[in-house]
Amino acid sequence: MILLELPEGFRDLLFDEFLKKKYVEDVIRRCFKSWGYNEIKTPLLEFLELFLKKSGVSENNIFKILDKNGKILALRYDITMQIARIVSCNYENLVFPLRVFYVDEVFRYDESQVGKPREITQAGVELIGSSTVEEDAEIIALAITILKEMGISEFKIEIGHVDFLNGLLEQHGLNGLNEIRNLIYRKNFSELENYLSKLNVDEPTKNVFLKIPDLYGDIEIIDKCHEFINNPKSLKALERLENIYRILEGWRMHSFITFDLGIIQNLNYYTGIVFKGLCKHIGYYLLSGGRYNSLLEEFRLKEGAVGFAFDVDALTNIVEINESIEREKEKTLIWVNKRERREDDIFDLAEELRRAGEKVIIYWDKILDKRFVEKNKIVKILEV
Amino acid sequence: MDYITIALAKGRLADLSIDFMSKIGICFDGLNLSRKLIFDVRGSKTRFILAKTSDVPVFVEYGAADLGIVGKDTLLESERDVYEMLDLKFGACKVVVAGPPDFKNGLFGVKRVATKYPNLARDFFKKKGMQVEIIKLTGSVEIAPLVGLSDIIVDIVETGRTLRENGLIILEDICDASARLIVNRASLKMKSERMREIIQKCKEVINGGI
Repeated sequence: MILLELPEGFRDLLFDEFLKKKYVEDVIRRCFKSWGYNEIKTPLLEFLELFLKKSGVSENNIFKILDKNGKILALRYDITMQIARIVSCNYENLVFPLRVFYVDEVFRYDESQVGKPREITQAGVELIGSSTVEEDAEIIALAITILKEMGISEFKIEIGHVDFLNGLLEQHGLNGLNEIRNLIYRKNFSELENYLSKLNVDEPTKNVFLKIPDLYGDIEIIDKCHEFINNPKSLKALERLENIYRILEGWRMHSFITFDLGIIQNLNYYTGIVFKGLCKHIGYYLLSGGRYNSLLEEFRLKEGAVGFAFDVDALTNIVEINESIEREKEKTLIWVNKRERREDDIFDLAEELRRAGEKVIIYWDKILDKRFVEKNKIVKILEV
Repeated sequence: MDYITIALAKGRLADLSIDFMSKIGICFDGLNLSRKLIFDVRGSKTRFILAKTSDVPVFVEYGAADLGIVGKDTLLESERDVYEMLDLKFGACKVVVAGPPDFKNGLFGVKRVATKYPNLARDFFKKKGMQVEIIKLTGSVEIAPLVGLSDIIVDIVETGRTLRENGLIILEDICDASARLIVNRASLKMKSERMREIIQKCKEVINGGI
Protein backbone atom coordinates (compact mmCIF):
# COMPACT_ATOMS: atom_id res chain seq x y z
CA MET A 1 0.00 0.00 0.00
CA ILE A 2 1.28 3.45 -0.86
CA LEU A 3 0.64 5.79 2.06
CA LEU A 4 -0.77 9.03 0.74
CA GLU A 5 -3.09 9.82 3.58
CA LEU A 6 -2.42 12.21 6.44
CA PRO A 7 -3.80 11.78 9.95
CA GLU A 8 -6.99 13.77 10.44
CA GLY A 9 -6.42 17.39 11.32
CA PHE A 10 -2.90 17.62 9.93
CA ARG A 11 -1.92 19.16 6.62
CA ASP A 12 0.93 20.15 4.35
CA LEU A 13 1.62 23.80 3.73
CA LEU A 14 3.15 24.41 0.34
CA PHE A 15 4.80 27.41 -1.28
CA ASP A 16 2.37 30.34 -1.47
CA GLU A 17 0.34 29.28 1.52
CA PHE A 18 3.44 28.83 3.60
CA LEU A 19 4.89 32.13 2.40
CA LYS A 20 1.75 33.88 3.56
CA LYS A 21 1.90 32.21 6.94
CA LYS A 22 5.56 33.18 7.30
CA TYR A 23 4.64 36.75 6.45
CA VAL A 24 2.03 36.79 9.22
CA GLU A 25 4.52 35.30 11.67
CA ASP A 26 7.15 37.85 10.67
CA VAL A 27 4.81 40.81 11.26
CA ILE A 28 3.91 39.42 14.68
CA ARG A 29 7.55 38.71 15.58
CA ARG A 30 8.62 42.19 14.55
CA CYS A 31 5.91 43.83 16.63
CA PHE A 32 6.51 41.64 19.70
CA LYS A 33 10.22 42.46 19.52
CA SER A 34 9.63 46.17 19.10
CA TRP A 35 7.62 46.11 22.35
CA GLY A 36 10.63 44.60 24.10
CA TYR A 37 9.55 40.94 24.25
CA ASN A 38 12.15 38.19 23.93
CA GLU A 39 11.50 34.97 22.02
CA ILE A 40 11.74 31.60 23.67
CA LYS A 41 11.31 28.04 22.44
CA THR A 42 9.64 25.35 24.51
CA PRO A 43 10.03 21.59 24.04
CA LEU A 44 7.56 19.59 21.99
CA LEU A 45 7.09 17.01 24.73
CA GLU A 46 6.30 17.44 28.41
CA PHE A 47 5.03 15.21 31.16
CA LEU A 48 1.29 14.87 30.84
CA GLU A 49 0.71 16.19 34.38
CA LEU A 50 1.90 19.67 33.43
CA PHE A 51 -1.04 20.26 31.11
CA LEU A 52 -3.59 18.85 33.52
CA LYS A 53 -2.59 21.20 36.31
CA LYS A 54 -5.12 23.97 36.89
CA SER A 55 -6.19 23.97 33.26
CA GLY A 56 -9.42 22.01 33.35
CA VAL A 57 -8.27 20.34 30.13
CA SER A 58 -9.67 16.90 29.57
CA GLU A 59 -6.97 14.27 29.15
CA ASN A 60 -8.81 13.13 26.06
CA ASN A 61 -7.88 16.30 24.21
CA ILE A 62 -4.16 15.85 24.71
CA PHE A 63 -1.91 13.84 22.38
CA LYS A 64 -0.05 11.30 24.48
CA ILE A 65 3.07 9.24 23.91
CA LEU A 66 4.47 6.50 26.12
CA ASP A 67 8.09 7.03 27.17
CA LYS A 68 10.52 4.08 27.39
CA ASN A 69 10.19 3.94 31.16
CA GLY A 70 6.41 3.84 30.99
CA LYS A 71 5.83 7.51 31.85
CA ILE A 72 3.16 9.30 29.85
CA LEU A 73 4.38 12.22 27.79
CA ALA A 74 2.19 14.82 26.13
CA LEU A 75 2.61 16.80 22.95
CA ARG A 76 2.76 20.54 23.61
CA TYR A 77 -0.84 21.45 24.40
CA ASP A 78 -0.55 24.96 25.81
CA ILE A 79 2.56 27.09 25.79
CA THR A 80 1.51 29.37 28.64
CA MET A 81 1.59 26.38 30.98
CA GLN A 82 5.09 25.51 29.75
CA ILE A 83 6.21 29.07 30.36
CA ALA A 84 4.82 28.92 33.88
CA ARG A 85 7.03 25.86 34.44
CA ILE A 86 10.05 27.56 32.87
CA VAL A 87 9.63 30.69 34.97
CA SER A 88 9.40 28.64 38.11
CA CYS A 89 12.53 26.56 37.21
CA ASN A 90 14.58 29.65 36.50
CA TYR A 91 13.04 31.98 39.03
CA GLU A 92 16.31 33.04 40.69
CA ASN A 93 17.90 34.04 37.40
CA LEU A 94 15.01 36.01 35.99
CA VAL A 95 14.19 39.67 36.44
CA PHE A 96 10.58 40.82 36.55
CA PRO A 97 8.48 42.08 34.91
CA LEU A 98 9.49 39.49 32.35
CA ARG A 99 8.43 39.81 28.74
CA VAL A 100 8.56 36.66 26.62
CA PHE A 101 7.00 35.56 23.34
CA TYR A 102 6.76 32.41 21.26
CA VAL A 103 5.65 31.30 17.83
CA ASP A 104 5.02 27.58 17.80
CA GLU A 105 2.62 24.71 17.26
CA VAL A 106 0.27 23.28 19.84
CA PHE A 107 -1.51 19.97 19.40
CA ARG A 108 -5.10 19.56 20.41
CA TYR A 109 -7.35 16.63 19.88
CA ASP A 110 -10.94 17.76 19.79
CA GLU A 111 -13.29 14.81 19.53
CA SER A 112 -16.44 16.61 18.61
CA GLN A 113 -14.96 18.65 15.81
CA VAL A 114 -14.18 16.21 13.06
CA GLY A 115 -11.67 17.45 10.53
CA LYS A 116 -10.68 20.53 12.51
CA PRO A 117 -6.96 21.25 12.60
CA ARG A 118 -5.22 19.45 15.42
CA GLU A 119 -1.93 21.19 14.84
CA ILE A 120 -2.42 24.86 15.58
CA THR A 121 0.22 27.56 15.28
CA GLN A 122 0.10 30.09 18.06
CA ALA A 123 2.04 33.31 18.41
CA GLY A 124 1.76 34.67 21.90
CA VAL A 125 3.20 36.94 24.57
CA GLU A 126 3.36 36.69 28.33
CA LEU A 127 4.00 39.61 30.65
CA ILE A 128 4.97 38.00 33.93
CA GLY A 129 5.39 39.83 37.21
CA SER A 130 2.68 42.30 36.37
CA SER A 131 -0.53 43.08 38.16
CA THR A 132 -1.54 46.61 37.20
CA VAL A 133 -4.49 47.69 35.15
CA GLU A 134 -2.10 49.58 32.87
CA GLU A 135 -0.41 46.32 31.99
CA ASP A 136 -3.79 44.75 31.19
CA ALA A 137 -4.45 47.65 28.84
CA GLU A 138 -0.97 47.47 27.34
CA ILE A 139 -1.30 43.82 26.40
CA ILE A 140 -4.63 44.52 24.67
CA ALA A 141 -3.07 47.50 22.91
CA LEU A 142 -0.33 45.22 21.62
CA ALA A 143 -2.91 42.86 20.09
CA ILE A 144 -4.71 45.78 18.45
CA THR A 145 -1.46 47.23 17.10
CA ILE A 146 -0.54 43.97 15.40
CA LEU A 147 -3.97 43.43 13.83
CA LYS A 148 -3.82 46.96 12.45
CA GLU A 149 -0.27 46.43 11.24
CA MET A 150 -1.50 43.40 9.32
CA GLY A 151 -4.08 45.47 7.50
CA ILE A 152 -7.08 43.88 9.17
CA SER A 153 -9.62 46.63 9.67
CA GLU A 154 -12.91 45.14 10.76
CA PHE A 155 -12.00 43.53 14.03
CA LYS A 156 -12.96 43.86 17.68
CA ILE A 157 -11.42 42.76 20.92
CA GLU A 158 -14.12 41.55 23.29
CA ILE A 159 -13.23 41.79 26.94
CA GLY A 160 -14.73 40.21 30.00
CA HIS A 161 -13.63 39.40 33.53
CA VAL A 162 -13.88 35.99 35.19
CA ASP A 163 -14.65 37.52 38.60
CA PHE A 164 -17.84 39.10 37.29
CA LEU A 165 -19.52 35.71 37.02
CA ASN A 166 -17.55 34.18 39.91
CA GLY A 167 -18.81 36.94 42.19
CA LEU A 168 -22.41 36.30 41.21
CA LEU A 169 -22.14 32.54 41.55
CA GLU A 170 -20.56 32.86 45.00
CA GLN A 171 -23.08 35.44 46.14
CA HIS A 172 -25.93 33.08 45.35
CA GLY A 173 -24.21 29.91 46.48
CA LEU A 174 -24.07 28.48 42.99
CA ASN A 175 -20.32 28.21 42.46
CA GLY A 176 -19.07 24.93 41.18
CA LEU A 177 -21.99 24.59 38.79
CA ASN A 178 -20.23 24.35 35.46
CA GLU A 179 -23.49 23.89 33.61
CA ILE A 180 -24.42 27.52 34.38
CA ARG A 181 -21.12 28.70 32.90
CA ASN A 182 -21.64 26.51 29.89
CA LEU A 183 -25.15 27.82 29.23
CA ILE A 184 -24.00 31.42 29.67
CA TYR A 185 -21.15 30.78 27.24
CA ARG A 186 -23.67 29.55 24.67
CA LYS A 187 -26.02 32.46 25.51
CA ASN A 188 -28.66 29.81 25.87
CA PHE A 189 -31.35 31.83 27.61
CA SER A 190 -34.12 29.29 27.46
CA GLU A 191 -32.17 26.40 28.87
CA LEU A 192 -30.53 28.59 31.48
CA GLU A 193 -34.00 29.48 32.68
CA ASN A 194 -35.02 25.81 32.82
CA TYR A 195 -31.84 24.87 34.61
CA LEU A 196 -32.18 27.59 37.25
CA SER A 197 -35.82 26.66 37.81
CA LYS A 198 -34.79 23.07 38.42
CA LEU A 199 -32.32 24.29 41.05
CA ASN A 200 -35.14 26.11 42.84
CA VAL A 201 -33.34 29.41 42.53
CA ASP A 202 -35.58 32.27 43.63
CA GLU A 203 -37.10 34.55 41.02
CA PRO A 204 -34.94 37.70 41.57
CA THR A 205 -31.70 35.68 41.43
CA LYS A 206 -32.91 33.90 38.33
CA ASN A 207 -33.56 37.23 36.65
CA VAL A 208 -30.03 38.40 37.44
CA PHE A 209 -28.51 35.32 35.81
CA LEU A 210 -30.82 35.54 32.83
CA LYS A 211 -29.46 39.01 32.14
CA ILE A 212 -25.85 37.83 31.81
CA PRO A 213 -25.97 36.34 28.30
CA ASP A 214 -27.29 39.70 27.13
CA LEU A 215 -24.48 41.71 28.72
CA TYR A 216 -22.43 42.41 25.64
CA GLY A 217 -21.79 45.60 23.71
CA ASP A 218 -20.17 48.97 24.24
CA ILE A 219 -18.97 50.59 27.47
CA GLU A 220 -22.60 51.43 28.35
CA ILE A 221 -23.02 47.79 29.26
CA ILE A 222 -20.85 48.38 32.34
CA ASP A 223 -23.23 51.10 33.55
CA LYS A 224 -26.14 48.78 32.93
CA CYS A 225 -24.51 46.21 35.22
CA HIS A 226 -24.25 48.69 38.06
CA GLU A 227 -28.05 48.76 38.19
CA PHE A 228 -28.32 45.23 39.52
CA ILE A 229 -24.88 44.04 40.67
CA ASN A 230 -24.12 44.49 44.35
CA ASN A 231 -21.49 41.94 45.34
CA PRO A 232 -17.96 43.32 45.88
CA LYS A 233 -16.20 40.79 43.65
CA SER A 234 -18.29 41.51 40.57
CA LEU A 235 -18.16 45.25 41.23
CA LYS A 236 -14.38 45.14 41.40
CA ALA A 237 -14.31 43.28 38.09
CA LEU A 238 -16.51 45.95 36.49
CA GLU A 239 -14.28 48.69 37.85
CA ARG A 240 -11.22 46.99 36.37
CA LEU A 241 -12.88 46.73 32.95
CA GLU A 242 -13.92 50.35 33.05
CA ASN A 243 -10.40 51.44 33.96
CA ILE A 244 -8.90 49.42 31.11
CA TYR A 245 -11.34 51.08 28.76
CA ARG A 246 -10.44 54.58 29.99
CA ILE A 247 -6.75 53.88 29.44
CA LEU A 248 -7.35 52.50 25.94
CA GLU A 249 -9.51 55.52 25.22
CA GLY A 250 -6.52 57.73 26.03
CA TRP A 251 -4.49 55.66 23.60
CA ARG A 252 -7.21 56.08 20.93
CA MET A 253 -7.88 52.37 20.75
CA HIS A 254 -11.31 52.20 22.36
CA SER A 255 -13.12 51.89 19.04
CA PHE A 256 -11.80 48.34 18.79
CA ILE A 257 -13.14 47.36 22.19
CA THR A 258 -16.37 45.59 22.93
CA PHE A 259 -17.44 43.93 26.16
CA ASP A 260 -18.97 40.56 26.86
CA LEU A 261 -19.47 39.73 30.51
CA GLY A 262 -20.44 36.19 29.63
CA ILE A 263 -17.05 35.24 28.12
CA ILE A 264 -15.80 31.92 29.36
CA GLN A 265 -12.36 30.63 28.41
CA ASN A 266 -11.74 26.96 27.71
CA LEU A 267 -8.72 26.99 29.98
CA ASN A 268 -9.49 27.38 33.66
CA TYR A 269 -6.36 29.18 34.82
CA TYR A 270 -7.57 32.71 34.14
CA THR A 271 -8.14 34.91 37.18
CA GLY A 272 -8.80 38.39 35.84
CA ILE A 273 -9.63 39.93 32.50
CA VAL A 274 -10.18 37.60 29.58
CA PHE A 275 -10.37 38.69 25.98
CA LYS A 276 -10.77 37.40 22.46
CA GLY A 277 -10.31 38.88 19.00
CA LEU A 278 -13.12 38.75 16.47
CA CYS A 279 -13.34 39.66 12.83
CA LYS A 280 -16.25 40.13 10.47
CA HIS A 281 -17.11 37.11 8.31
CA ILE A 282 -14.95 34.80 10.39
CA GLY A 283 -16.59 32.44 12.81
CA TYR A 284 -13.58 31.68 14.96
CA TYR A 285 -11.38 33.78 17.23
CA LEU A 286 -8.22 35.46 15.97
CA LEU A 287 -6.68 35.61 19.41
CA SER A 288 -7.44 34.73 22.96
CA GLY A 289 -5.92 35.61 26.30
CA GLY A 290 -6.21 37.10 29.74
CA ARG A 291 -4.74 37.43 33.19
CA TYR A 292 -3.69 34.25 34.97
CA ASN A 293 -2.28 34.87 38.43
CA SER A 294 -3.16 31.49 39.90
CA LEU A 295 -1.29 29.42 37.33
CA LEU A 296 1.98 30.72 38.71
CA GLU A 297 0.80 30.19 42.26
CA GLU A 298 0.52 26.53 41.32
CA PHE A 299 4.31 26.68 40.96
CA ARG A 300 4.60 28.53 44.29
CA LEU A 301 5.30 31.87 42.59
CA LYS A 302 3.65 35.04 43.76
CA GLU A 303 3.81 36.80 40.41
CA GLY A 304 0.84 38.05 38.44
CA ALA A 305 0.82 37.50 34.71
CA VAL A 306 -1.14 38.49 31.63
CA GLY A 307 -0.82 37.32 28.04
CA PHE A 308 -2.51 36.23 24.86
CA ALA A 309 -1.90 34.18 21.75
CA PHE A 310 -2.84 34.70 18.13
CA ASP A 311 -4.21 31.84 16.08
CA VAL A 312 -1.69 32.25 13.25
CA ASP A 313 -3.67 30.07 10.83
CA ALA A 314 -6.82 32.11 11.40
CA LEU A 315 -4.89 35.30 10.63
CA THR A 316 -3.26 33.73 7.57
CA ASN A 317 -6.70 32.98 6.17
CA ILE A 318 -7.84 36.59 6.26
CA VAL A 319 -4.67 38.57 5.58
CA GLU A 320 -4.44 39.91 2.03
CA ILE A 321 -1.35 38.85 0.14
CA ASN A 322 0.64 42.01 -0.35
CA GLU A 323 3.08 42.97 -3.04
CA SER A 324 6.22 42.31 -1.08
CA ILE A 325 5.24 38.64 -0.72
CA GLU A 326 4.78 38.40 -4.48
CA ARG A 327 8.08 40.13 -5.22
CA GLU A 328 9.91 37.82 -2.89
CA LYS A 329 9.14 34.90 -5.20
CA GLU A 330 10.72 36.46 -8.32
CA LYS A 331 13.76 34.64 -9.69
CA THR A 332 16.43 34.90 -12.36
CA LEU A 333 17.16 31.99 -14.66
CA ILE A 334 20.53 31.32 -16.23
CA TRP A 335 19.62 29.15 -19.17
CA VAL A 336 22.57 27.13 -20.42
CA ASN A 337 21.30 27.08 -23.94
CA LYS A 338 24.10 28.16 -26.26
CA ARG A 339 26.90 26.39 -24.37
CA GLU A 340 29.24 29.32 -25.17
CA ARG A 341 30.64 29.48 -21.64
CA ARG A 342 32.29 26.94 -19.41
CA GLU A 343 30.56 25.49 -16.34
CA ASP A 344 32.80 27.32 -13.86
CA ASP A 345 32.09 30.60 -15.62
CA ILE A 346 28.37 29.99 -15.40
CA PHE A 347 28.64 29.03 -11.75
CA ASP A 348 30.59 32.23 -10.99
CA LEU A 349 27.99 34.33 -12.81
CA ALA A 350 25.23 32.78 -10.71
CA GLU A 351 27.14 33.40 -7.51
CA GLU A 352 27.72 37.01 -8.48
CA LEU A 353 24.01 37.58 -9.05
CA ARG A 354 23.14 35.81 -5.80
CA ARG A 355 25.52 38.06 -3.90
CA ALA A 356 23.72 41.01 -5.45
CA GLY A 357 20.51 39.73 -3.90
CA GLU A 358 18.88 37.92 -6.82
CA LYS A 359 17.43 34.44 -6.57
CA VAL A 360 19.13 32.44 -9.26
CA ILE A 361 18.43 29.06 -10.82
CA ILE A 362 20.86 27.55 -13.33
CA TYR A 363 18.94 25.57 -15.93
CA TRP A 364 21.17 22.96 -17.59
CA ASP A 365 18.82 21.76 -20.28
CA LYS A 366 18.49 23.08 -23.84
CA ILE A 367 14.73 22.68 -23.77
CA LEU A 368 13.06 25.17 -21.46
CA ASP A 369 9.58 24.27 -20.32
CA LYS A 370 7.16 27.21 -20.26
CA ARG A 371 5.46 25.83 -17.14
CA PHE A 372 8.78 25.76 -15.33
CA VAL A 373 9.26 29.47 -16.03
CA GLU A 374 5.76 30.29 -14.85
CA LYS A 375 5.72 28.13 -11.76
CA ASN A 376 9.05 29.49 -10.56
CA LYS A 377 8.09 33.09 -11.25
CA ILE A 378 11.11 33.70 -13.46
CA VAL A 379 11.27 37.40 -14.30
CA LYS A 380 14.64 37.47 -16.05
CA ILE A 381 16.28 34.89 -18.34
CA LEU A 382 19.97 35.05 -19.21
CA GLU A 383 20.87 32.75 -22.08
CA VAL A 384 24.47 31.58 -21.96
CA MET B 1 -26.53 48.37 7.25
CA ASP B 2 -24.76 45.02 7.38
CA TYR B 3 -25.64 42.23 4.99
CA ILE B 4 -26.81 39.15 6.82
CA THR B 5 -27.25 35.54 5.83
CA ILE B 6 -29.79 33.28 7.48
CA ALA B 7 -29.54 29.50 7.19
CA LEU B 8 -32.79 27.55 7.24
CA ALA B 9 -33.17 23.81 7.50
CA LYS B 10 -34.86 21.85 4.77
CA GLY B 11 -37.44 19.35 5.85
CA ARG B 12 -39.83 19.46 8.76
CA LEU B 13 -38.91 22.96 9.94
CA ALA B 14 -38.64 24.68 6.55
CA ASP B 15 -42.19 26.00 6.15
CA LEU B 16 -42.52 26.86 9.83
CA SER B 17 -39.23 28.78 9.71
CA ILE B 18 -40.34 30.74 6.66
CA ASP B 19 -43.61 31.59 8.41
CA PHE B 20 -41.74 32.72 11.47
CA MET B 21 -39.39 34.89 9.44
CA SER B 22 -42.31 36.59 7.73
CA LYS B 23 -43.72 37.42 11.16
CA ILE B 24 -40.57 39.34 12.03
CA GLY B 25 -40.84 41.17 8.74
CA ILE B 26 -38.44 39.25 6.55
CA CYS B 27 -40.58 37.85 3.78
CA PHE B 28 -39.58 36.18 0.61
CA ASP B 29 -41.52 34.20 -1.92
CA GLY B 30 -40.73 31.72 -4.59
CA LEU B 31 -38.88 29.42 -2.23
CA ASN B 32 -40.91 26.36 -3.07
CA LEU B 33 -41.26 27.23 -6.70
CA SER B 34 -37.66 26.84 -7.68
CA ARG B 35 -34.77 24.61 -6.90
CA LYS B 36 -32.55 27.48 -5.93
CA LEU B 37 -30.90 27.23 -2.54
CA ILE B 38 -29.95 30.87 -2.08
CA PHE B 39 -32.48 33.73 -2.04
CA ASP B 40 -32.02 37.43 -1.67
CA VAL B 41 -34.76 39.37 0.03
CA ARG B 42 -35.25 42.43 -2.07
CA GLY B 43 -34.28 45.72 -0.51
CA SER B 44 -33.45 44.40 2.93
CA LYS B 45 -29.84 43.25 2.66
CA THR B 46 -30.83 39.79 3.78
CA ARG B 47 -30.09 36.47 2.19
CA PHE B 48 -31.48 33.05 2.96
CA ILE B 49 -29.75 29.80 2.35
CA LEU B 50 -31.52 26.48 2.46
CA ALA B 51 -29.33 23.74 3.86
CA LYS B 52 -29.64 20.18 5.00
CA THR B 53 -30.78 20.23 8.63
CA SER B 54 -27.60 18.79 10.08
CA ASP B 55 -25.51 21.31 8.13
CA VAL B 56 -27.23 24.44 9.47
CA PRO B 57 -25.11 24.61 12.66
CA VAL B 58 -21.99 24.11 10.52
CA PHE B 59 -22.83 27.06 8.25
CA VAL B 60 -23.40 29.20 11.33
CA GLU B 61 -20.34 28.07 13.28
CA TYR B 62 -18.02 28.88 10.39
CA GLY B 63 -19.68 32.23 9.75
CA ALA B 64 -20.99 31.28 6.29
CA ALA B 65 -24.36 32.19 7.78
CA ASP B 66 -24.87 34.73 10.58
CA LEU B 67 -28.04 33.16 11.90
CA GLY B 68 -29.76 29.85 11.61
CA ILE B 69 -32.95 28.11 12.60
CA VAL B 70 -32.58 24.49 13.53
CA GLY B 71 -34.08 21.90 15.86
CA LYS B 72 -32.63 21.30 19.30
CA ASP B 73 -32.21 17.64 18.32
CA THR B 74 -29.76 18.63 15.59
CA LEU B 75 -27.85 20.90 17.96
CA LEU B 76 -27.46 18.18 20.55
CA GLU B 77 -26.23 15.83 17.88
CA SER B 78 -23.72 18.17 16.28
CA GLU B 79 -22.34 20.04 19.33
CA ARG B 80 -21.23 23.04 17.33
CA ASP B 81 -19.75 26.16 18.91
CA VAL B 82 -22.55 28.67 18.30
CA TYR B 83 -24.73 30.93 20.42
CA GLU B 84 -28.03 29.22 21.02
CA MET B 85 -30.00 32.32 21.77
CA LEU B 86 -33.69 31.64 21.55
CA ASP B 87 -36.17 28.84 21.83
CA LEU B 88 -38.51 29.77 19.00
CA LYS B 89 -41.14 27.40 20.42
CA PHE B 90 -42.35 26.10 17.07
CA GLY B 91 -41.72 22.68 15.57
CA ALA B 92 -41.99 21.18 19.03
CA CYS B 93 -41.18 17.50 19.25
CA LYS B 94 -39.47 15.07 21.56
CA VAL B 95 -36.39 12.94 21.21
CA VAL B 96 -37.36 9.54 22.58
CA VAL B 97 -36.31 5.97 22.97
CA ALA B 98 -38.91 3.86 21.19
CA GLY B 99 -39.31 0.19 20.50
CA PRO B 100 -41.66 -2.78 20.49
CA PRO B 101 -43.87 -3.16 23.59
CA ASP B 102 -41.68 -6.05 24.82
CA PHE B 103 -39.38 -3.45 26.31
CA LYS B 104 -42.05 -1.48 28.13
CA ASN B 105 -40.84 -2.69 31.52
CA GLY B 106 -37.25 -1.62 31.01
CA LEU B 107 -34.42 -1.56 28.56
CA PHE B 108 -32.81 -4.77 29.82
CA GLY B 109 -31.31 -6.87 27.12
CA VAL B 110 -31.09 -4.08 24.57
CA LYS B 111 -28.08 -4.67 22.39
CA ARG B 112 -28.56 -2.57 19.31
CA VAL B 113 -30.01 0.90 18.81
CA ALA B 114 -30.77 2.42 15.42
CA THR B 115 -30.85 6.21 15.16
CA LYS B 116 -30.25 9.32 13.13
CA TYR B 117 -28.59 10.77 16.24
CA PRO B 118 -25.60 8.54 17.09
CA ASN B 119 -23.83 11.07 19.35
CA LEU B 120 -26.95 11.96 21.27
CA ALA B 121 -27.85 8.28 21.66
CA ARG B 122 -24.33 7.32 22.75
CA ASP B 123 -24.35 10.04 25.43
CA PHE B 124 -27.75 8.98 26.69
CA PHE B 125 -26.87 5.29 27.06
CA LYS B 126 -23.42 6.10 28.44
CA LYS B 127 -25.03 8.10 31.24
CA LYS B 128 -27.29 5.13 31.95
CA GLY B 129 -24.22 2.90 32.10
CA MET B 130 -25.59 0.75 29.28
CA GLN B 131 -23.32 -0.75 26.68
CA VAL B 132 -25.12 -0.74 23.35
CA GLU B 133 -24.17 -0.84 19.73
CA ILE B 134 -25.34 2.27 17.90
CA ILE B 135 -26.32 1.90 14.26
CA LYS B 136 -26.52 5.13 12.33
CA LEU B 137 -29.35 5.39 9.81
CA THR B 138 -30.31 8.46 7.82
CA GLY B 139 -34.06 7.89 7.52
CA SER B 140 -36.98 5.50 8.13
CA VAL B 141 -35.49 4.57 11.47
CA GLU B 142 -38.82 3.05 12.60
CA ILE B 143 -38.41 0.00 10.42
CA ALA B 144 -35.14 -1.06 12.07
CA PRO B 145 -36.77 -3.02 14.94
CA LEU B 146 -39.36 -4.50 12.59
CA VAL B 147 -36.77 -6.18 10.39
CA GLY B 148 -34.43 -7.14 13.20
CA LEU B 149 -31.74 -4.56 12.47
CA SER B 150 -31.97 -3.19 16.00
CA ASP B 151 -33.84 -3.82 19.24
CA ILE B 152 -34.95 -0.23 19.76
CA ILE B 153 -34.54 3.22 18.20
CA VAL B 154 -33.78 6.77 19.26
CA ASP B 155 -35.72 9.23 17.17
CA ILE B 156 -37.84 12.36 17.23
CA VAL B 157 -41.60 12.16 17.65
CA GLU B 158 -44.11 14.87 16.88
CA THR B 159 -47.53 13.21 16.97
CA GLY B 160 -46.43 9.63 17.52
CA ARG B 161 -48.40 8.46 14.51
CA THR B 162 -45.47 6.95 12.62
CA LEU B 163 -44.47 5.01 15.71
CA ARG B 164 -48.00 3.69 16.25
CA GLU B 165 -48.41 2.66 12.64
CA ASN B 166 -45.22 0.66 12.90
CA GLY B 167 -46.21 -0.99 16.16
CA LEU B 168 -43.71 0.87 18.31
CA ILE B 169 -44.25 2.66 21.61
CA ILE B 170 -42.34 5.37 23.45
CA LEU B 171 -40.17 3.77 26.11
CA GLU B 172 -38.44 6.81 27.50
CA ASP B 173 -38.18 10.56 26.81
CA ILE B 174 -34.70 11.93 26.26
CA CYS B 175 -35.41 15.63 25.76
CA ASP B 176 -37.71 18.18 24.20
CA ALA B 177 -36.63 19.61 20.89
CA SER B 178 -38.19 22.70 19.38
CA ALA B 179 -36.69 25.10 16.85
CA ARG B 180 -33.81 27.28 18.08
CA LEU B 181 -32.32 30.49 16.80
CA ILE B 182 -28.56 30.04 16.61
CA VAL B 183 -26.11 32.85 16.02
CA ASN B 184 -22.50 32.98 14.89
CA ARG B 185 -20.14 34.14 17.64
CA ALA B 186 -18.46 36.86 15.62
CA SER B 187 -21.60 38.09 13.85
CA LEU B 188 -23.39 38.78 17.12
CA LYS B 189 -20.68 41.27 18.04
CA MET B 190 -19.54 42.51 14.64
CA LYS B 191 -23.01 43.09 13.21
CA SER B 192 -24.53 43.82 16.59
CA GLU B 193 -27.07 46.42 15.50
CA ARG B 194 -28.89 44.23 13.01
CA MET B 195 -28.50 41.18 15.19
CA ARG B 196 -30.06 42.87 18.19
CA GLU B 197 -32.90 44.10 16.04
CA ILE B 198 -33.66 40.62 14.68
CA ILE B 199 -33.32 38.93 18.07
CA GLN B 200 -35.59 41.53 19.63
CA LYS B 201 -38.25 40.99 16.97
CA CYS B 202 -38.02 37.24 17.43
CA LYS B 203 -38.56 37.67 21.17
CA GLU B 204 -41.62 39.80 20.52
CA VAL B 205 -43.11 37.17 18.23
CA ILE B 206 -42.42 34.36 20.71
CA ASN B 207 -43.82 36.24 23.69
CA GLY B 208 -46.69 37.78 21.78
CA GLY B 209 -47.64 34.48 20.22
CA ILE B 210 -48.42 36.31 16.98
